[in-house]
Amino acid sequence: MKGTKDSLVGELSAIVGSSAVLFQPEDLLAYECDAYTIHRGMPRAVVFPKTTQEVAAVVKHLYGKRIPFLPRGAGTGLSGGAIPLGGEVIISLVRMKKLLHVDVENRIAVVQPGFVNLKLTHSISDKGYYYAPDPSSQYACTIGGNVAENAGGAHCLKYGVTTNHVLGLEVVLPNGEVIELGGAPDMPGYDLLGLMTGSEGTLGIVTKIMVRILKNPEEKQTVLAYFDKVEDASYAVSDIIAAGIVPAALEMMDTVAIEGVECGTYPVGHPPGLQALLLIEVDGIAAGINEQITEIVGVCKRRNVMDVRVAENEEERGRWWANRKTAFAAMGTISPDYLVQDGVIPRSRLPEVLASIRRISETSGLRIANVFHAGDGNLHPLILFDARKPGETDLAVEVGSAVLKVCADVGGTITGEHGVGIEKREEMRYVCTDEEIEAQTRIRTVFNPHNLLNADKLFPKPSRCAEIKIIQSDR
Amino acid sequence: MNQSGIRMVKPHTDESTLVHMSATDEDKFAACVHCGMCLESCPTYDELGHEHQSPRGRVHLMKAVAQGKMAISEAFADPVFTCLDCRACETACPSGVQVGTLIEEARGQIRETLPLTGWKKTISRTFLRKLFPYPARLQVLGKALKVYQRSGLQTFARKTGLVNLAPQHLRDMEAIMPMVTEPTLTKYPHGIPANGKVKMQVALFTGCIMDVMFSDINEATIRVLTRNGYEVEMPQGQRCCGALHVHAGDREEGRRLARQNIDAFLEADPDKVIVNAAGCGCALKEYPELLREDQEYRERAKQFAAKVEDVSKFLHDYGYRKPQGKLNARVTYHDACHLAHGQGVRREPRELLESIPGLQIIPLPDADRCCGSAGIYNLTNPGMAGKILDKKMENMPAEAELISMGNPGCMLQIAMGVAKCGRNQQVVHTVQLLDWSYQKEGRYVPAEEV
Amino acid sequence: MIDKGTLLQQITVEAAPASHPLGNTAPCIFFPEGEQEIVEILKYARQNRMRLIPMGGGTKRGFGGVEEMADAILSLSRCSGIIEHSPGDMIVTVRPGTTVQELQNCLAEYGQMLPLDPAWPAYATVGGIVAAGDSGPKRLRYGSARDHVIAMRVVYPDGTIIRTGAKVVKNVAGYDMNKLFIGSMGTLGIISELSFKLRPLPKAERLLLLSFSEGEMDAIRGFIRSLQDSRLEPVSLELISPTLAGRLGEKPEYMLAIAFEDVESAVRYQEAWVRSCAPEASLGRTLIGREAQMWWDAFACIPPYGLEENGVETRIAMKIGSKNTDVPDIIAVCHHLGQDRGVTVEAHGGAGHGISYIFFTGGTEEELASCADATRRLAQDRGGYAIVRHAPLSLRRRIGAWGEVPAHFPLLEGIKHTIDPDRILNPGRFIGGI
Repeated sequence: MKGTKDSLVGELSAIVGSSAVLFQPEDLLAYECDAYTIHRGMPRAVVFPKTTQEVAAVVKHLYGKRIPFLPRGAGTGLSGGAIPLGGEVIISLVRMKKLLHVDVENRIAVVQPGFVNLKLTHSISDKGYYYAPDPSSQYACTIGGNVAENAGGAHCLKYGVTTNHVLGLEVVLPNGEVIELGGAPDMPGYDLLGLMTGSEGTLGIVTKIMVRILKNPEEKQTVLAYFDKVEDASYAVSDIIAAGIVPAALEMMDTVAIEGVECGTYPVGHPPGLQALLLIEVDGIAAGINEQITEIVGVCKRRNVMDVRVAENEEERGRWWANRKTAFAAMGTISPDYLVQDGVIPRSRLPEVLASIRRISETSGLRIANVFHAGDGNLHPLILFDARKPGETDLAVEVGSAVLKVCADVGGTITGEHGVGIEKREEMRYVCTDEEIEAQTRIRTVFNPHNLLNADKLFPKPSRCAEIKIIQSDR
Repeated sequence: MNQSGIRMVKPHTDESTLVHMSATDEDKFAACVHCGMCLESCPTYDELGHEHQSPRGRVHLMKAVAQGKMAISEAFADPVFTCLDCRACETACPSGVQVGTLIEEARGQIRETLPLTGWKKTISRTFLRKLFPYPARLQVLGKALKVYQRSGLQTFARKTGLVNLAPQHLRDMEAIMPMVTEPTLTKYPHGIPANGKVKMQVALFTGCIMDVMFSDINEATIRVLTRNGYEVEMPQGQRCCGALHVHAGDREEGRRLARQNIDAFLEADPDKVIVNAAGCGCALKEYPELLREDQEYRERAKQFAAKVEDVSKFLHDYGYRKPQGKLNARVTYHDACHLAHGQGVRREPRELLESIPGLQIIPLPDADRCCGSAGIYNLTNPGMAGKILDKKMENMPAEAELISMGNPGCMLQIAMGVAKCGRNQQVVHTVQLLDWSYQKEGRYVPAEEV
Repeated sequence: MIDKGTLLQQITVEAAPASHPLGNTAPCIFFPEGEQEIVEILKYARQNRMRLIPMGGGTKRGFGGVEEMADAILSLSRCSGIIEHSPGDMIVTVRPGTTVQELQNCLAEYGQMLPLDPAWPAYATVGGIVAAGDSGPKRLRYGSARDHVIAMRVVYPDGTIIRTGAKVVKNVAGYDMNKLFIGSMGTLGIISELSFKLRPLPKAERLLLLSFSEGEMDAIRGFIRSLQDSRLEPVSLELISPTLAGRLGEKPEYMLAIAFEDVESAVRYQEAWVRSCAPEASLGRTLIGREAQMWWDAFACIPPYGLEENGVETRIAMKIGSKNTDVPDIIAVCHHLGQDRGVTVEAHGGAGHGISYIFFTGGTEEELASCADATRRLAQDRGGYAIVRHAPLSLRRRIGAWGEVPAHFPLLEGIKHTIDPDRILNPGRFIGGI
C-alpha cells in the first residue's frame, strides 16, 4: 500500500477497498480518544466495512494474525470503551447506517449498528412511534454503541434501558463467525442477547439490531420545579415515587450545573441562586395525566418548592429538555475540562450522598456539578478541572474515584449507563470481588478466547501493561 | 513510539509553524470537550464517516498542531479545507465552540506555512486578489459571462427550456421584475430616498458578486426598504466583504478589505448596515474576530459589526408593512448556513414569507443542511459539493414551485441542482417574493397607511 | 439414602419417591436453610460427583430434561422469606424459595407489586420462575423476569458465591450476569438471593372480555390491529381459544382478555374506547378491581404443572415464541389440531408479546406426540420456536423438550463448561442436553 510500510493496510484494503481504510498517522490522530479524553492511544488503522460480510472478513483476517481490534461507533462514549490502548485496528461501523426494516404491527425496527439513535425516532414518528432509550448524546450516538454500552437515558425510569428494548442481534464473533441471537421472545438457551448487550464490545461486534419501538404516549406533561434546598428536592423525588407515580423522567440539576446550562447553547432562563431544580415528566393516557400532575405539584409544594411550573406547550417542553440534554457538554462554557461520573445509588440515600460529594468537592478544591437521573438514583457528578494546570487532571480522576467509592459504599454501583471502559477498570474492585471478576472474564474467554476484541477493557488487569502491547504491535 | 502507548506524529521541531501571528486561540478550542454532539450535523462527516473530517476531529487536529504533536502538513490541510464552513456544528455544539472561526484561522495558518503553488496559486490569486476586491473588474466579467441576466434561474431556465414549462403565474413574476443591467452601487451613487416619512437611515452592503450577478435582488431589496420608510445609502467606498478570502486562508487580504469596509460604512454612519447575502453578513459580523489583534481597528470593527443586520431580520425587527399582493404559489424555504447557523436567523425569513397572501409554505426536511455551495467550495471541492447538493435535492419537496433563501451562493448552487434534476422550480431570494407581492398590489401604499 | 458425612450434619435430608412419571427426581432431597448450607451441599456434591436437581415449589418438574433420576434434589423451599424491602427505593430482596404469592402479599401492604404474573403463584417460587424465565399475559406491559431482576447471589457448583448486578435500578458495571442465570433452568448455579425492582400497585384495574365466534378471525385481527394502533396502554391483550374460554366459565368462543391498570380516569377512558371501537357483538363483561384479580387468579391455575396428582388423563403444555401478528393464527391452527386426534386443545397467546401456550389433554401418547410435532412445525414455519413446557418423561424423551439447537450452541456449551465443568447441576435438563 502506498504511503505505509504496514502490509496489513494492503490486506485490509483488499477486503473493504482502499477508500475504507485509514492508516496515515495524521488521519488516525482523530481516533486516539472518544468522548472520554483523559486516556489516549493510537490505532494501527481504521477500517470502514459496509456489510456484515466485510466485518466478518476483516475480523477473520485479524483473528488469524492475532492482531487486536475493537469496534467503534460515533465515539460518544464517556468511559473510553472505543479508545485503542495502542496498536489495535479500529473497526468503525459508521458506514453501516441504514434503517433496514420497520414493522409497526409487530412494533419492531431493524437497524445497522451505525444508525444514529435519534434518527430512528425521526424515521418512525410520522407513524406515531418512537424508540425509547434516549441517552443525552442521542443526536449523534449510534444504536450499535448503545447496545455495547447498554445505554440509558432520561426516560428509562419508566421505560427501561437499552437491554429492555433489544429483541435480536446479528453478531460477528471475535473469530469472524456470524451468529444470530433473539428474534423471537424467550429464545431457548442462555440469554446471550442479554449478555451481549452491555458487554462493551468485548464479546462480539454487533452488525444488525432488532429493537422494540413504542407507540407515542397519548399525552405528555412536564413539570419544572425550583428549590432552594437540595434536601427538599431529594425528598420530593422520594415522595413522588412513594405516591405510586411512575414518571417517565425525573431529572435533577444543582447550582453549578444550572450555571453551566444557562451559559450553554440552550439556556432556559432559570432564576439565579437556585440550589436544585427538578424536571419531571409524566406520560400516558391523557385522561389520567392531570391527576398525576396535580399530585406532583402538591408534593413539590409540601417540600417547600420556590416555584413550580407545568410546560405550556411542546415548544417550552422542548426547550427544557434541550437545556437538560446538553448539560454535560455545556460545562465546557464554565470549565475547560470536565470528568463525568456515573454512579448509581438507592434513591433513598440521595441526600447523604450529595452531602458527601459536596465534602469531596470542598476538600479537593474542584467544583462538582450534579446533573442526574434522580428517579433512578443515577448520579452524574461533573468534576470541573483545567487540564492545562499541572496535576489537575490526576486530581480530577482521584475525585471521580472517590465519588464512586461513596456510591459503592451505600450499596450502589460505579456505573449506571456509561460503562466501565478504560476509565473505571480499577473501580470495578469497589463492587466486585476477585471471584466475581474472574467469573466474568471466564465468560469473556468463551467468546473471545485470545482477548483480541477490545482487549483489557472493562476489568481491572494489573499484570499486563501497555508496553507489552506496543512491542507486539511494532512492526 | 513513546512509552505511553501513544504514537507521536513527527515530533514537531520547526519553530516557525508554532510561532505564528494568527495562531488559533487556545480558549476557543479548549471549550471543545470532544463530546461528539456535532458529528451528525456535519455534512462531510455524514458523507465520509471519517472523524478527522468532522468538527470535533478537526478541532482535535488543531489542538494537536498547537501542542506541537502534529506538523502543519497536507494531511492537516485536507480536513481543514474539506470543511464547508457551514457552521451547522456551531448550532449543534452545547458548549459554543466557534468551529467556523477556528477553521478560518487554521486555514490562515496553513496558507502561511504551505503557500499554494502552480495552477492552484494562479487561480486563487486571480479570483481572490485580482478580481473580487475590484467592483469594476467584476462588472466586466459579469457582463462578459452573461451568466445571469434578470433572475437567478433565468439563464438556467432558458438554457434548459424550462421557462416555457413554468406555470403562467410564475412567469408573471419575471414579467413584473424590472430589467436590470447595471450594478446598484454605481447606479445609485447618492443613495435612494425613503417613500414617505423616513423611519431610519440604512446603508446597503451591495456585495461584489451580488451586485454583478444578482443586482435585481439588490434592486428588490432597495424597493422593499424604501417602501417601508427606510432611506438607503450606498457608501461608495465599500468593497467585497472578504469572506471568500478568509475561507481560503487569505486572512491578510481579508483584513485589508475589512478595514476598507469599516472605513466606508462608519464614515456614512447609518443606523444599520443591511445585507442580503448571508455569507457576507456573517463575515461582516465577524470583523471583530478577524481584526482582534489590530490595535487600530479592533474597536471600530466592533462598532461596525453592531450595525450589521440581515435584511430579513431587519425588516422583522424594525417593522414592515404586510404586503397585499396575492402570490398564488407553493414555496419552500432553504436555510442558508450563514443565516441559520452563522447568524441564528431562522424564524424571521419564514415569517416574512408567511405574511405574503396566497403563498403556501411547504416544509423542507433538513432545511438547514448545507447545499454544498459554501462560498467557492463548489469550485474547489466539486465532488463533495455535488454529493451534498444531491442530498439537498432529494429532500426538496417536488410540489414546491419556488425555492426561497437568503444567500446568492446557495441560489446558484440550488439552481444548478434544480437543472440537474430536470425539475421545474424557480429559485428566488426571500426579499424578491416580498417585493413581488408589493408590486402586485398595483399601487403604492404608503407605510403609514397600514 | 446417602452418607452425608460430617460436613452436612445440620442439613435436612429426606428420602423421596423412587420414581415419578415426570422424571427429574432423585432418591433423596436436601433442604438447605441458608446460603452457607447450599455452598456445603454443592461442595459435597462436587467432591462426590453427585448430580443435583435444584427445585423450588416443584411446579416445573415436567419442564425439560430426559433423565428420570439424579443423585439428589436440592430443594430451596426452606430458603424462603423477604430479606429486605425498601419501599422508598421500590426494591425487594428475597430468598429463592419464597412463593410468588407470599411475596406479592407482603408487597401489597406497601402498595407495591412484583409485576410478574406466572402460573400457579401459590406454589411457584421466585427462584423457580426466574430460573425458568416464566411470565404471564401481563408481560405485554410490564415485561418478563429479565426486565425486573436487578441483582442476585448465585452459588457456583464449586461453592463460590457470585453476586450479579446491584441493588439499584440501573447498572452496567461489567457484564449483565443476571441475564445468564435467568431462564438457565438451574444448569449454571443455585440462585440463593434475588433482588427485584418493583412497581406501585395500580390504583385501578379493569378487565374486558370480548368474545368472537369461530368464523370471526378477521374481526379479531382487525380489532387487535386497531387497538395496537391506538394510544391505549393495555397490560394484557391475550387471545384465548374457545375451549379454554369455556373452561374459565365464559362463552366457549374465541375471547380477548384486555386488561387496563392505571389511575381510575385513565382506566375508565380506555374501557370506554374499547366499548365504542370493538365490534358490538363481541362486547362481554367488564371485571373491576378485585373481580379482575380473581379472574386472573383462576387463569393462572390453568396450565398442567408438576404437583398435579396422577390423573387418568395425560396433559402436556407447549410454549411458542413468535411474532405478535402470528399469534391469532397460531391459536386458531392449534385449536383445530386435536380434532382428528382425540385430543382436547386449549390455547392462549399474547397478541402484543408473542408468547403462546398450548395445552393438550387426553389421547394416546402417539396422538399427543403428533400434536406436539405439528405445533413445533407451525411455530418454525413462522420463524418462531416451540418448546415443551410440561410433559411426562416418556413424551419428553420422544419429542424432545427444546427442539433443534441454535447455530451458536457451542457458546452455550462453553458457558456451561466454564461454570459447571463436572456437570453436577441439572445435567441434561436444558437445550442440547446441557
